[in-house]
Amino acid sequence: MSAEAKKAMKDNFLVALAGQQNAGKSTTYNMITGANQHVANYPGVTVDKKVGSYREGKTRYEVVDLPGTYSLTSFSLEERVSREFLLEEKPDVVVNVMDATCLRRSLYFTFQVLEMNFPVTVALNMMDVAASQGLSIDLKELTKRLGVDVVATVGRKGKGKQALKAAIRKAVNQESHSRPVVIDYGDLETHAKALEEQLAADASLGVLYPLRWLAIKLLENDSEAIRIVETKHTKGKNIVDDALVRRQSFEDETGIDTSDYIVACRDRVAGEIVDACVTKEADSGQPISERIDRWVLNRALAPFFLLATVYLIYELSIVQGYELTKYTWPFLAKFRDLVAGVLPPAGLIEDSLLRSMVLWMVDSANTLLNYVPIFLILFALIAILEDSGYMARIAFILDRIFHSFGLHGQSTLPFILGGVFAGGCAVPGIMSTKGIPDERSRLATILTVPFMNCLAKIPLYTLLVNIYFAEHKSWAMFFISTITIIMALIIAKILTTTVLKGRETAPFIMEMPNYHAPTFFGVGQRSLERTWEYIKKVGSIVVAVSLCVFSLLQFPGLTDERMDYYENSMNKAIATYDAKMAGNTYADLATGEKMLPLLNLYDDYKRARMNASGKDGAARVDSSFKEANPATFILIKPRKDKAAKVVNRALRKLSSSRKSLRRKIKEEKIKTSFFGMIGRSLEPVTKYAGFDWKVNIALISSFAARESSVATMGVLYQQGADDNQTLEQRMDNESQSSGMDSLHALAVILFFALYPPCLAATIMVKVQTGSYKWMLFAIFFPTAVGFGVASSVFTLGNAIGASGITMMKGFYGLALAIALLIALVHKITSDKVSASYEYQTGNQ
Amino acid sequence: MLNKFDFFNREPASKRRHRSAGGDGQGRPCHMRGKSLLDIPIGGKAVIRGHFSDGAVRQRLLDLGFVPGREIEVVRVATLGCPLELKVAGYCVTLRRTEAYQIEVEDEC
Repeated sequence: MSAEAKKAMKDNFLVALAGQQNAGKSTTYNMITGANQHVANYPGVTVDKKVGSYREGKTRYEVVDLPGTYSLTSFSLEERVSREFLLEEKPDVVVNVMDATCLRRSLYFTFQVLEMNFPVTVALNMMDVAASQGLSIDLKELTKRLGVDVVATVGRKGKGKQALKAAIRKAVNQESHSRPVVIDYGDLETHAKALEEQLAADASLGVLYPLRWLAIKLLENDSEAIRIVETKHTKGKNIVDDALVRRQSFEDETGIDTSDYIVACRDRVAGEIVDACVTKEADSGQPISERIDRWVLNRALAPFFLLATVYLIYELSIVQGYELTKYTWPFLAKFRDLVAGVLPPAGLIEDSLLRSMVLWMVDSANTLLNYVPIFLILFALIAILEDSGYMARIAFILDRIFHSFGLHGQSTLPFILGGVFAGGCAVPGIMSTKGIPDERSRLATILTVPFMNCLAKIPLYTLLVNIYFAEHKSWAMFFISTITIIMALIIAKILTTTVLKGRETAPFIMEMPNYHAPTFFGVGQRSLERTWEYIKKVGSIVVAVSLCVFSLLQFPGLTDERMDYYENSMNKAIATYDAKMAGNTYADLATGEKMLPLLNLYDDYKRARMNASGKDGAARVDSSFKEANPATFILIKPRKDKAAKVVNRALRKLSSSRKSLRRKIKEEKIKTSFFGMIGRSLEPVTKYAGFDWKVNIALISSFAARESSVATMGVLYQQGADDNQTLEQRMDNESQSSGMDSLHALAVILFFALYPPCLAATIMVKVQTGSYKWMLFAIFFPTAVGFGVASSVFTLGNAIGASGITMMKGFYGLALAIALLIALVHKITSDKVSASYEYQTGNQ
Repeated sequence: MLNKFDFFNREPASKRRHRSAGGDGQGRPCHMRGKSLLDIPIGGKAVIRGHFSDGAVRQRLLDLGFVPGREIEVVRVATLGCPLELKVAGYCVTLRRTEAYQIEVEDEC
């Protein structure tokens, strides 16, 4: 859009929100646009482009929130994106959000925007924090010095909204007479002016780019600026060469690097402005953050505070959150009953497709929703960690370890969310990798977070440990919760030194924020937001995927012949039942057409009684059933009525034979389903890891959603289910006959730990990496690793006749040794590159 | 003692040649003599003289206020000796040893 066209249509203005990281850009953005916003991507890159808008009368203001950057050079992706946006789209006004608490540094950025000749309005944010630090800022003086409008805001509290909008309005209508400050580059000025003149020779360039800015950028040796001049100026090459010569001569003359000199000039002007505008109250001793850090970041004590924090997170969110699910589960169960009530009633031995499909979907959604209390707590705790400033300190403490394995200090948060010890979810984990500035580490983190033990993996682990490692329970759980971290670190190292080697990397340069008391509102809001995002993202996928799994398990279904066989068995059971009913006073109510509804009522009642808690609950169930079925209630709860007792006994018998038939049908269906075929066809390969087809099916179906692994096993291992044995006992019985032992179980555990992320997580990988290539990699690579590890452990264990627990210890030792070796090698090599001597105090 | 300064000298000189196509190799010998930030004890202060890093790292350091002439304080190191926490221009910034090594400092006068 050309400048004239924009002026012509005065009712739509483009506002760019620019500023440094942590200056409160997002809160300012939320403040002025309200709910009216959406997120898109900048072309070709995975940087989010947030666009919102607001109206003032007939005028519409479109607000673009640029990525937060410290500067506007061409070194990092975010900076390039921001700069390109400014140069290409030429916004009508740039709102520069500044952090009032570090004005001097914020000014570097402001100067760079001003140099690009945009109408600028400054939103001086975090005024409340500045005040609490004893800083008072003279706004009038600042406005005068900068030559642009300055508005004081407190984005978090929505203060300064109207004033900022007014300033934007003034700026786009060019009512504010802005005569922005011009940085004096001292000895470089002559060079800059000369270059500017040469650039002006080609008139077309001046329309597109501010020439002084280009001249300065050439002196800074900015690669993008060089490219622009070379391609868009007729004598571009000469000018670039001339700039190089000028740089060189300046450096030879003064002995100072040109870029350093330019920054120093900006710093000097910034310093002058700060001196003139900011007054600081007399220092009241040590700042509070420093006093806290003396303990919390103490070299010796820091690890203990860290461990205590992680333990607290685990205890509060996973353990207590799980307790909470006991209170929320009945609501979900009620919801399921409600849906079941609306659907066509259950058939004798086979339900209608609609009923079974919808109930399957509700069950899948319920398993997911069951985790909501845990996530609410987990996200709230994470928000507290982030807002308080401790999260940055965790990164500081752990960077050394992570860096040894090619990761980054900021990989901590994704790993915690992914479930470091036990319990978490890879989806929010992968989502939170956004903040990692180092591209190589970010990708490595995305690809290794799914190895963490997410909540959905726990049931299978518990099941297998209870059966096969009952005597070594605590050791086995310790193994499972720590081996995943060790393996994730090793694999991260492998990835960063192979496939990710060519990726851009960045140093660990992080601003240490001051401690901040988190606000109740802020934490609650973020926790709700993230939970909602999780439900939306995962929910839609899980429901869609559960449909696929359902069809794969349901079809092609049983042959008519087999169905007839089962129907005959059922008819026999009914015949026995009818024979018992003959002559009973209640026969009218319990036979013929009335039989099936009564049978369903009986099952519903039994289930309701089982879910009801305590005497009161049972009484409530009784009264509600009695009310709904006044005539037949006596049959499901006969008390002292002899005839009713006979009916009741017969009903119980019928119900149990029906259940057992249904289970048999289900098993046969799964066995002959598409999934079953896949599971069996994989047996020749998976036998090296000791997996039979049942395990195969459970593992494959767990790709859709991990929770389903145990559910599938529950169906597959069902001999003895009629005697109300638990799944543990059933699997134990069966494994004794089929020869499955702890070594098999170990192979399954290892495979399950290293196996690819679930579908929701792989889709998140696609979103965060922006490529299907990485998504496919995230599926196939871990499968290969998992299978390789599982089969080598199994085969080796078999060959030497070791038990599962021996192999477990052996494997743990080996993995730990490899990890330590990697860390040691990293230490030696990095010491060689960096200093080879100790700190002076370190020797004391 | 001499060794480490030799190493310190060699590394940036080669980089510099690479960056400036002009190619005056011997540069400015006296200016190079200095301490790296790693020579400053924990709790100690120094003044920044210059950077031997380049590209994005140098830019980021300058953006964060690691401007030549500015006073810098080594606040603490993490448990495993790396990274370092530095105080510059009133706020704290973390750096790994590899980057800290490339910052040239001198003692306060």
